Amino acid sequence: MSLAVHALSTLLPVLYAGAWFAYLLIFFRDDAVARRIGPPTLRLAAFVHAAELVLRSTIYGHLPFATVFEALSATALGIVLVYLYVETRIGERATGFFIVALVFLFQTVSSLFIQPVVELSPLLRSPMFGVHVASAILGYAGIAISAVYGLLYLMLYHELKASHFGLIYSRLPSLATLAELNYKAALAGFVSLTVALVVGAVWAARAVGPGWLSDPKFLAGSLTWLILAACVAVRLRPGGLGRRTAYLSLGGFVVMLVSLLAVNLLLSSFHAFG
Amino acid sequence: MPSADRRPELRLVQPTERVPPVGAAGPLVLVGMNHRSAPVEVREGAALDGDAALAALTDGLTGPLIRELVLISTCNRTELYAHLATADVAAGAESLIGLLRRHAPNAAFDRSHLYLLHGEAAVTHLLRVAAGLDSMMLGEGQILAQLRAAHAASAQASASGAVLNRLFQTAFRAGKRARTETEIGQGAVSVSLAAAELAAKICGDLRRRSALVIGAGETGELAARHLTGKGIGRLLIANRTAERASALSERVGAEAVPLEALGRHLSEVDIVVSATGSPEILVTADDVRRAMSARGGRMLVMIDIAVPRDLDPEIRRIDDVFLHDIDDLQGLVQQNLARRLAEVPSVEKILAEERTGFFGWLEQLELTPTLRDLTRQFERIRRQEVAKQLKRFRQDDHEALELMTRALVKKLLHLPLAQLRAYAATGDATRIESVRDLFGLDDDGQEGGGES
Repeated sequence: MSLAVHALSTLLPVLYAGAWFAYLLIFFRDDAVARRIGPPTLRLAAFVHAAELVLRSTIYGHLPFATVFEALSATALGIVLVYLYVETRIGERATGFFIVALVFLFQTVSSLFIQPVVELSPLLRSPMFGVHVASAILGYAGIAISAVYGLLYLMLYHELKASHFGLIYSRLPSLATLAELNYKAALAGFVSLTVALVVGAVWAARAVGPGWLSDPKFLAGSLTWLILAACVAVRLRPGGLGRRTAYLSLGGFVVMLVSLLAVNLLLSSFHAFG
Repeated sequence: MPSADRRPELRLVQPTERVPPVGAAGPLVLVGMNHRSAPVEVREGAALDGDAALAALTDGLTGPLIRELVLISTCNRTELYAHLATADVAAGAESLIGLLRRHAPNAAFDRSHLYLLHGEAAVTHLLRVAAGLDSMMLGEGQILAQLRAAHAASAQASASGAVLNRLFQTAFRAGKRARTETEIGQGAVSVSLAAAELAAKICGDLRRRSALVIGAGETGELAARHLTGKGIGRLLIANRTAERASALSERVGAEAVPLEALGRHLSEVDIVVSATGSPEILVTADDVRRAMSARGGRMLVMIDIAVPRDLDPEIRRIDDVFLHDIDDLQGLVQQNLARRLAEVPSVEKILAEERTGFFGWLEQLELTPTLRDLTRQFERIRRQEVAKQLKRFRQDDHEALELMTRALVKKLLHLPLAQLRAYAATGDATRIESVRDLFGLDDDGQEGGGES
């Protein structure tokens, strides 16, 4: 059984690489064949991915959030699912190239380093943990997607300002659409992260005691949350500022990566997985 | 009909690889002129629409040479497509030219203004027209609707039949495929449409946006029409003389606003297109800065298609304002044209597929009578022989003889018929020709088959 998990985990980067290549052809060449096979390949990859995570949870007896690499894999799946929703909703395939690149990166890192947890901390057995981490993962996925669209927004913005009508101009959706996706993903990330923080705080206060307030992971998470709050607040003003939202979402993404990777791997914290 | 007659030498007609034999499907001939072959004065005279077209169609069919006829007449082309009742392509073409002369008496055209094509070349030409490859503006989409109208008019006058109907259906499908499967029709190739597309690239769905067009001249009107074509939510038109603004507003369904209120509208609308003949700048960078602070940073698209410019070039420096001038738009148009040009090979590939499909059908049309003739011929010989030999057999054996000879003929014909169908599928008409020759299927005499 664990062999099956390992096989699926190895297969995933391959599937995502295939999907990414198809989306690359869609973006650069608007290739008709790629347009037909890209989305189904990504759907297949998402399906295999979900199966892998379910199998992993069943075999090892815990939700797939116990190590940073499990969390990374779950985040990758979250990003794919949100992207597939956007793709069907607005019929937008050109941005898949950027999203799937990120997913491929996340999943490859995860598949390379993922290892079964031998000793599961009793802290992670709490049902509160499930809610906390699941909403944190959704929050991460939202931030990652928001950052990709923020980056694309800025690219198209500068291209338009310079009256340069290149590939970015001809392939990307309208600036208004990118701003909308950038904002909506940030909003979804903000809501999920709020839930994660609240549940996490309540749970930690009971389980760890007052020390949790100075935990680096909590601090990084709070900083991410504050940046997202700013993203949302900027847009709440009448008119809204696309560029400011875009920059903030990119900042949020960087802080998120730091909190997900650096804090877990470098700093000591009760929050460190495994 | 002797087969030598089927390959006439015709000076005016471009050589083609294949001339369809006259049978169920006679030759296809095209006589026409377009923007490349004839100047506008000549084309104007040769334009036949409505009643004139109907009269020409009716007249064309009264002659003995033309079996089916479709007339296409647009501002850039007049073309007559005919399915002939004769193998004499030259005579068919002459009768089409005569038809054009009779019905467009004022057209000062001569042979040099016309192109005469037949067979594959004529079919290829129609498919290229349908795909927009023969248009003045490459990949232009209106021609497909014009072709549909031309064919419908012909069908209504009962001037088109099985062959031309099939040909035009093929052309419609080819034109549609070219536009959906390639980018031949993508990207604006006129400045005013490019302005509307650029606005949509920034603002997204224009139905939720508002625009202000400054200048009610020809360019202003085109820009206004393209914006309404893209479903703009609200359209304002400002002009130095208010009457012209109201007149244009009425025509395109917009609101006329006074030019003096420009400052106020700058803070309201999402898109500004300026196309006036004003010698000086109408909107300064300061005007826009003021407007932007009132807009709370909402994006503003400003497109200047006037020469000399109406909008201060300094506006470009203001954040969240997208200023584009006529050079930018012309650059975009050139780029779109280049991209369309790059799509031509892919379009040609689609056209080749459709052309093969059409000729496959045409050969099938030719094949069916050949299969029938061959079967009839064998059956006739069988009957003759059975009748001759019947006396030699006892009454009891007559039925057995009948059954045996039928089975024999059926067996003998089985492979040749299958082979014929296979030839037709490959589109090789010459083999069907040889079979007709070999078995004397086109001979008038009933002495088929040489019995010893």
